[in-house]
Amino acid sequence: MALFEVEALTYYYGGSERPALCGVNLEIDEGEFVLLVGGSGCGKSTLLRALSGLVPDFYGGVIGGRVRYRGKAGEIGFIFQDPENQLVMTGVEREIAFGLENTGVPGREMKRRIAEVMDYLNISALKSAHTFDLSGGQKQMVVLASVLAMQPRVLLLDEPTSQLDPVAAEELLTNVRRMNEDLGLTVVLVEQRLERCFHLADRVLVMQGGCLLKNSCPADAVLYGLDAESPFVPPLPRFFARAGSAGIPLTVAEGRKQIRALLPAAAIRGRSGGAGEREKTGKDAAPREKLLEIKNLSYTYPEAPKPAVRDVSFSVAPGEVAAVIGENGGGKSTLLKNICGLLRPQRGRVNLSGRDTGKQKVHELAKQVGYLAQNPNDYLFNDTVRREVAFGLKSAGGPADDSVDEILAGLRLTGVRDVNPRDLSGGERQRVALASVLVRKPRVLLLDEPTRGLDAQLKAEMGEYLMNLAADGVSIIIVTHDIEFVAEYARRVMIMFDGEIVADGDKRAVMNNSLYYAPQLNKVFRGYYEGVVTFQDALDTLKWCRYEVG
Amino acid sequence: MFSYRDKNLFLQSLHPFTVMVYSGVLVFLALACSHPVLLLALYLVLLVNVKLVDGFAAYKNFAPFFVIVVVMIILINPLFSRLGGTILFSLPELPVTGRISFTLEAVLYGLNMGLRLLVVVTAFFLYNQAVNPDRAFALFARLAPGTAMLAALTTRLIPHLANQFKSVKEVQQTRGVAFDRPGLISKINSYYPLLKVIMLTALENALNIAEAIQSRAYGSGHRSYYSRERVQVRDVLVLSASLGALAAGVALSALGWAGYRFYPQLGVLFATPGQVLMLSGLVAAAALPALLNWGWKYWPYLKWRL
Repeated sequence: MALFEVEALTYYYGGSERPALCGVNLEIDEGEFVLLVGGSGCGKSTLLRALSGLVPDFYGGVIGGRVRYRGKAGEIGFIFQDPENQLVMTGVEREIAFGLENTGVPGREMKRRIAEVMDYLNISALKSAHTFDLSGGQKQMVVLASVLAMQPRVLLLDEPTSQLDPVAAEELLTNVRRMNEDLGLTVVLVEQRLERCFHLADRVLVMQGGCLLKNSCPADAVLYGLDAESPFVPPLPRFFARAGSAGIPLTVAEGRKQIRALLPAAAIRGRSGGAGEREKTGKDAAPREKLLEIKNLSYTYPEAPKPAVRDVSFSVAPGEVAAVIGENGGGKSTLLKNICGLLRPQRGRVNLSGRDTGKQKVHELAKQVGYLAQNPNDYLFNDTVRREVAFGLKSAGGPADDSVDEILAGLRLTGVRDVNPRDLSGGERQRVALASVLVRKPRVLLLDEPTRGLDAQLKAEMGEYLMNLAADGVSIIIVTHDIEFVAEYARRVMIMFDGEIVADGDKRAVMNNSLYYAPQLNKVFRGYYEGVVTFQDALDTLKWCRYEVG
Repeated sequence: MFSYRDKNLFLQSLHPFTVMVYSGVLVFLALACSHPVLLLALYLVLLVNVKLVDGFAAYKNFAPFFVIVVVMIILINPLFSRLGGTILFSLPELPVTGRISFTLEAVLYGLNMGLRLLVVVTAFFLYNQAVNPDRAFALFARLAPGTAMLAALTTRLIPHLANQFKSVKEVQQTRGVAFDRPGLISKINSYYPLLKVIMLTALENALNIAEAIQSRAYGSGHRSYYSRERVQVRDVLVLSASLGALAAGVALSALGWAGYRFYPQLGVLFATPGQVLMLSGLVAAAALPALLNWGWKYWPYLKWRL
């Protein structure tokens, strides 16, 4: 008998005439790991809330159909996107105790559960820490601990890794999988970075427009996604399906087995150097025009024991797309803030078209250097999307012109131009924030985690849009943890570690064979063909190999 | 701003109720008594306590604000007070206010008011440095759960808003907004969108937090408590000293010895030896926690006994 039974579930948020869920039928068995995928605003989060009872208990609205849970109240744990908005207490230990106190668990039992859960998640060292002092990953782990301490039978997770760096995200998902396997917890996960979790799921649910389109095992979901030309298929299975492989692998290990079957034996034995040799590295390339030049830049925050950015030098040519990747706290965002003038280099300089920007004020520099901060909500205060985007022109003293509508069209926001930006989904908000930066037509565009919260479709669209901007001569520097996005769209990659740039060059030179900063497809081809970084690289390599060797 | 840090210090080891009573008594004394020597002594006692909870660095951040408020009180009081017989200097005759004279008595009265304000503010500061907000929440949640939750969330909200103010200002600057333009209208135009963003985001976050709290069964029924705060010897000593200081303050007020005559001319500081004795007793009682704090830090035996 299923743990959850959802029958003909239809739901309208209060004041909305469009259903957020539309006739959803679903059963979830105890101990299953279910992955829920779909575009922004397709109803994934609403379905999770309906499973937990928050819809309609918390949100109100109009509900039809039935959600039946065969368990007791209080057995469903929920983890949301932003850990910041889930923490209540100032201390970690008390935070974990919060839910237990609310359910009336006796004091001694609480102590035992807290000790166990902290050991289980390996966060005992944080027991006396303040929640303010934790990193995003640690905060989300504390939230997970506080939910797990309540001993739920079901764990619902709504994009729990969207605010985390890859290391923290991996750790969180590994722990969720462990709970599913060790404790038999039923898990329903909504996630955008599918390459991280497709292989973890027993079942994949594909949603669109509030409807459940597909309910199947991951391999069938991949085939369905490919038939429907859905972007919600991770690059690895998409590649093998496109290559005509008999089986569809979901992990790198499975992929490597498959690739041996796909490639001719001669090619496997003899070949090294492939796509990577097709392009020269940035350092070997001929001298280029320098639009932006950073010389020996160093910056130390007040009261910090060591510099956040140390002796960094590089230049960016017009139309170049460079990505800066690396650990959290490695100095990436500080570097961007030094370039756009929010911070001033204590040593070194930033030149734009050969002129030192040190004496220009931030709002003056903003005419040439656009900066997209991490949180799109920091941009949104106007009544409509159009006004929000036009604000950049207004603050420069000019009237809103046709360029606003052009940018809205380019970022597929025309349909919501008269909507309040605060009523939009996370992905749409991100695009509105980007539009409000682009409206000033900057020559240099600095993007801090631009793909955070975007689904695969929107990410691909943003990538294409950035490529068009680059073709128009805009230099783009992207700070991101999204390795797959970097692999597809950046030309040059810099790795920052402890305030220094430790690698800088063409993406194939930097990402190839990287232990950590390599996309999945590169890991699949590692040892057989070097320099496979993008999806197209992988297809080209396979084609070349079959033609040349086979 | 949230600046509490667990350092296993004496005042931090007290029961939250004890610290609340001690700080409350100091605030009451500052409001009920206006004798400048008493206020100065209470302020010095508080400063010693702040030092002993390692709160000086955080206190220094607030110092400019305190100084500005005190200076304003000192300057404003003579504008409205026509009392006092010792004229220091006079401003020229003005149409509405007439001639304003700054008298020694009015300036000293203003200074005394400023000192009183400093004692009150520093007592609150000390409470914040000495009591872990989570322990305070645990204590007050038994009495008024809704209010305690509100206070806990507010404690978290303030530093969050301060960080957000900084990041939204940065974003607005990069959108071409100049915050350094002179003139009140320009400032309002620059800061209005910034405040709007902060307000809107705070409202959205409030909804998210409410949802997260509900999903963790807040308000679902009977509540239990993770830890029980125990009253120990040190609590009894500090509570006794606080009640002693309170009793002395009430007695001083009843006898008319808690105040000081500023107008029309400055009175004598101490009317009788009995007043000196009672004031000394009050200050000694108020200083007892600081003394125990010192002992806790430097005398292991005392720490063990307490």
